[in-house]
Amino acid sequence: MSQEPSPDRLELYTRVLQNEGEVKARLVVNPVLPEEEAIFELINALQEALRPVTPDAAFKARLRGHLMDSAQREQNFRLLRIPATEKRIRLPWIAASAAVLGATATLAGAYAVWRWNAGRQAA
Amino acid sequence: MSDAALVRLAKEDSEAFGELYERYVDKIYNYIYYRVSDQAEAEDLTARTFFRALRKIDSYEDRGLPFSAWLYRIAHNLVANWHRSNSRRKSVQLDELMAATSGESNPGAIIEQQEMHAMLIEAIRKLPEDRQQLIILKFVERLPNAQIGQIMGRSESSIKSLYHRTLKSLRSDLRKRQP
Repeated sequence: MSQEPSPDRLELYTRVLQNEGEVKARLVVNPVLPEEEAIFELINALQEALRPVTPDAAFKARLRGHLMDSAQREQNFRLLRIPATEKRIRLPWIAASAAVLGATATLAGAYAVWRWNAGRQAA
Repeated sequence: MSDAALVRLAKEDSEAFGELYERYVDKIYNYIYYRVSDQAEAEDLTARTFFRALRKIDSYEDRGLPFSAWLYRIAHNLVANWHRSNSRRKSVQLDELMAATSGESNPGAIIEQQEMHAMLIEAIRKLPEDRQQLIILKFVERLPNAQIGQIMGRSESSIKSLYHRTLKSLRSDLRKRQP
């Protein structure tokens, strides 16, 4: 007969260990089969090794400040009906229009300079 | 106030997003910290997770998936990208991780415990990505299987059997490592 621990017993042991400690966890799975012992020990070791850590308080406060500033900016854009930063960048027709306007202005400027030079030379 | 109500508010009110941030920053940081084992990288990826959440919150729709699961998925994707672009492994970071989490006060016991924990964490790192994610969500975040399933996009029973297989594989790996 296989003595492999069942998924249900592993779940039960883990849940009780996390909520009520090892003594209670041992009680609820009693009797422990020899093959189960090593796995329950492993669960205890995982519980011990993987403790929650606390992020640095200054980091948390700084990040909150940046997020709030950013959220406020996005809200202001929405109130002014201006697309938010990302959307503005992503709207390709705006970028294309700006490029066309820029190119037209450059050409018009170059043409004006050329006309002015040509007029001076003719004079 | 429930997460769902806060999320609705957060689409218009930055303070509501601030409240969601306060609720989840420690959990997301922990999840990332144990996946990357480096404080500075964990801070950077935590910041990216929340900035991405802020940008995408307008398009977030409550379809039965808790807000926390949505946040964990963002964090998970960022961590996966980070691992893809950082194939190097720094053993010094493991020492840092051990120092941050050790609860012992006796120096001899600390060394012994740290060696054992280091071996365990090395074994966890060798696991496939989904198994690492499961172990962190279960032991660091202490989430129930139903919630882990929502985060990982699997059923509760599939999480239970994945946990079973993960423990067996860890036990077998640790047996090989022990002298």
